This record gives sequence, C-alpha cells and structure tokens, in this order.
Amino acid sequence: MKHLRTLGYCIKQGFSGLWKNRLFSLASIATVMACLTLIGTFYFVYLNVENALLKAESSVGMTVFFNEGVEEDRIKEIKSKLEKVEEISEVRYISADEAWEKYKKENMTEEMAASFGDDNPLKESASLEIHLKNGESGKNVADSIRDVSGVRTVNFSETVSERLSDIRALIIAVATVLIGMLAAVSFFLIRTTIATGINVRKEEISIMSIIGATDLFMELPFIVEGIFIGLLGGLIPLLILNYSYTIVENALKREFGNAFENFNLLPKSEVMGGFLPVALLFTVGIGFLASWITAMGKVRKIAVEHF
Amino acid sequence: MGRIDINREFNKIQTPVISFNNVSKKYNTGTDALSNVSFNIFKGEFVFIVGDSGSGKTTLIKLILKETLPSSGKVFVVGHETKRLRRKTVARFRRSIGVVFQDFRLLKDRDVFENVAFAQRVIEAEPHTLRHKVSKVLNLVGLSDKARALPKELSGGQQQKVAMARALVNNPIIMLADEPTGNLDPNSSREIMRLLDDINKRGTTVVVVTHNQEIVDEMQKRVIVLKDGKIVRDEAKGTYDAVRKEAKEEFE
Repeated sequence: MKHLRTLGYCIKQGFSGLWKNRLFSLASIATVMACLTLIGTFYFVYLNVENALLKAESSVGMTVFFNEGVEEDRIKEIKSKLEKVEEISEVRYISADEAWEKYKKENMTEEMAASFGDDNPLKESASLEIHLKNGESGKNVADSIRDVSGVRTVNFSETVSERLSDIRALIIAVATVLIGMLAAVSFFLIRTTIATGINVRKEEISIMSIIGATDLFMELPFIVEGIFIGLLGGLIPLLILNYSYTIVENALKREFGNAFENFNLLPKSEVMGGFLPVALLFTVGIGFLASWITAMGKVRKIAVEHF
Repeated sequence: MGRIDINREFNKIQTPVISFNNVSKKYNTGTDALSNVSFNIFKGEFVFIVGDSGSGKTTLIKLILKETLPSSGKVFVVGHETKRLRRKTVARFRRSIGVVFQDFRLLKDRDVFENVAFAQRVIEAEPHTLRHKVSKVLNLVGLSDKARALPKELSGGQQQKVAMARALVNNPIIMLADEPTGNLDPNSSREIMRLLDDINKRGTTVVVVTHNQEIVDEMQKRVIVLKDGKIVRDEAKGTYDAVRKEAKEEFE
C-alpha cells in the first residue's frame, strides 16, 4: 500500500514533468511516432513482399523426365521415394496422355490437334512435377534426382530460387539497418528530453536528496516520463498504420480486384496482431531505457551538489 | 514527578551525535579545506560554527551530510561512520538530519503545506500522519494560517520558517542550518534564532553555520571557530571573535 501510494505520487510527478517540459516531450513523442510509422510501413511492406515471394517460391518447381522404356511402375516408385524428401512439398505424376492433352490445349488449335488422331508424340514423356517447400534447396534436390537411375533430365531454373533468396536477404538487411538507425535517433532524443526535464527540476531533486529521498524515488518520475513518451509515440502511429492499412487494402482491391492473387495484402488482423505488441514493447522499451540511463547519471550527480 | 535517572540522562547528554576524529580534507585541486580537525557535538547541544569564507565551514557541512568523504580521519554522525555508509543507506541516514539553507530552497510552484509535506512524502508517510505532522510543525513555526500561500507571497523570514518546518517534520536528530539568517533583516534573524533555540530545547541538536556576529554573541552558545581549515577556538559560551570575548570579560 505504502509503495503503491509512492508509485502513484511518482507517476503524477512524471506526468507533471511531461507537461512542464511539454515542448521537448512533444518533440520526442513526434520522433518516436515518425520512427515507428516508418518501421511499421517498412515492416508491412516486407511482410507482404515476403508473402508474395513465398507464394512464388511454392510455385517454383521442377520437372523430371525419364529414359525411354522406363515403366510407369518404376516412375511411381521414384515418386513415392521423392515424396519422403523433406524439401519437397508435392510430387505429381503426369502421364504421357496427360502431358499430350496439356500440350495440345496450350499450344494447338483444335484442327491441328485432331490431325494427330490417336497418336501421342509424347508417349515417352511421362514425367514427375515436383514442388519445393523452399526455393533455396532447389539446386541440391535437382542434382540428387539427376543421379537416380532411369532419370533422363531434370528441368529446373536455379536463378529463380536464388533471386528470391537474394531479395529476402536484402529486405532483411535494409530493415535491420533502418530500424537500428531509427531506434538510435529515438533513444537519443528521449535522453535529451529527460536531461532537460532533470535540469528544469534540479532544485527539487537537490531538496529531495537532502531530505532523504531514495535514488528510486528521485528517478522514478523521469522513468515514468520516458515510458509515457514511448507509449504515446507507439500508440498513435499504430492507430495511423491500422487505418492506413485498411485504406491501402481497399485501394488495391479496387484497382486490381482479384485478378492477381499476389496483389492481395495479408489480412490486417494477421499483420497488426504480430506487430502491435512488439512495436509497443519496442517504443516503451526505448523510452524506459533512455530515461533510466539518463536519470541514473544526472539525478545522482545533482543529488550530491547541495552547496 | 517521577525520579530522574541521573545516569541515563548523563549518558544521553554525553552521546556524541557528530564526531570528527583528526579529519583532513584535501580536494583534487590541491586545496587543503580541513586539516586535522577533531571535535564532538553531543546530543541536545546548540553549536555555532563560525569562520571567514574559505575557512572550511562548507566542507565541514558536506562531511556531516556525506556529500564528500574525508581524505583522512573519521567522521561519525548519529553513530554511523560516514565512510562506511553504503549508497543505499545514505537516504535513510540523511533523514536523521534536517537541513536549512540561506536561500530557503522552497519549491516555488507548491504552497506552504505542500513544501513541508514534501519531506513526508519522500519518506512515504501515511496520509493521515502526513497531515497531522505538517499541521503540527506549521503551528510550531507559527505559519498555520499561511498553509495555502505560495512562497512568493511570504516574507524572507516566513520562507525560512517554512524551510525549518520542512527540516523538522521528519523529527531529525540534528538540525543543520547553513547561514539561516544570511538573507534576513535583524528582526527576522532574531525570530529564526529564537525558533532554533526552541527546537533545541525540545531535544534536537542544532548546528548553525553563520557569519552573523550579533546573533552569535547574543545567544551565548558553544562556538567553534574555523580558520584556514583548522579549529582555532572551541568555547562553551563563546562569542564570534576573541577581541569581543576579551572585551566582554573585562566589562564583566
């Protein structure tokens, strides 16, 4: 009860300090807001790009063709073995007839197709269509399949999977640098704000220390101030981002409809649900750390300068 | 009336609340602020510490409050050797010392009641204890009717009384006053000194650092005189300077 009352008093003092030092507080909140808005925007773009890449990756596949005379049973045996390979998500058997039907449909007019009658020029072209879980493993899987007896050739485009991995690595690197820089800017601005607040209340701190206030009692109002800057600086952009996401989502739907599957954004609940707690923890954490470090150094220095 | 336990009373009075044993303080700048200073201040005493600027008075206060540590020798305050006090215990230690400054050091944006209550909030006092103690101490310094006034609405003497109330509200063992009359007119100065005397009569040890010769001479209390970091005089009923003392004795 006693400590709760003291905590209440310190929180009240923290808010009072925030108000007394409102110009700097506002500047800090605005900086944290700007940082989080940028981080959020970047993160949402990243998530959606990654989602699109994942979709593209899962469509990355390879086709395995077999030597002449390899029986359907043998191909199906290879298929069941491949299905057990961890990197492979799906293996589909395309029979010679199926392959010919597909070819006719995609590349011939009905008249041209009819001229072949019952002949199947692709009768030795039964194949396995393989879909990978992750494009990065494509090259290794293709090399292994090439060594299987009966396999004539494996069609696989290595560059697609490599390019996808490169894009993801680049996005992660840029995001890390950007987030690091923005976090540092927020951190130092909050430190300046708290330091200014401490200077404004120098006299009060000096009196507190001479009448026997503990370090925590003197520092807590400033830590509250820092946490509140972090909290406000986090909550406002989250609301803005939440609202903006809906606008962008609707705009994309309006512009592209469902014509391109990859243009559909991830559901807002999925994106915000993961981002909100981490973002708040991030901004409140920066506010806490910056104010705590500043208060520890500055308050304790003032507390020994009474005469 | 009950019997007085003479031994108990004697022990009580003989307990030093401040004790300097061969204390020297040399600052990093090379200045010798205090050299081999030794004295005891006992519970219930009223002591003036006088001396010119640079004589070591401020260093002496800093050593009592553990704002600085001695370069050599030992400082004991209310039973603690200040050098051995850990950072965590300094706050509690300081609650046994009430400090009054020349410039009052009141919180300008808070009224008289809140200025005094501030000292109680710092020690996490219960709300009803806080109200009771603040009212009691404001009554003692004669400012009950000014509880809701801001410091700027008070005279210098009244502001110093608020500062004294703040120093007193936590029942300190020692009241340390650094030039308490430095910013006051003679009448207010006398009033403040009378109040300090009253506080002392209630059992609090009072240590006053001052330049005010008239007050020191009038009060007839123990006087410790510092010069160039050394104690040059320590008299039970002293005056500000030796010349006056001799003249006074001659006259008597």
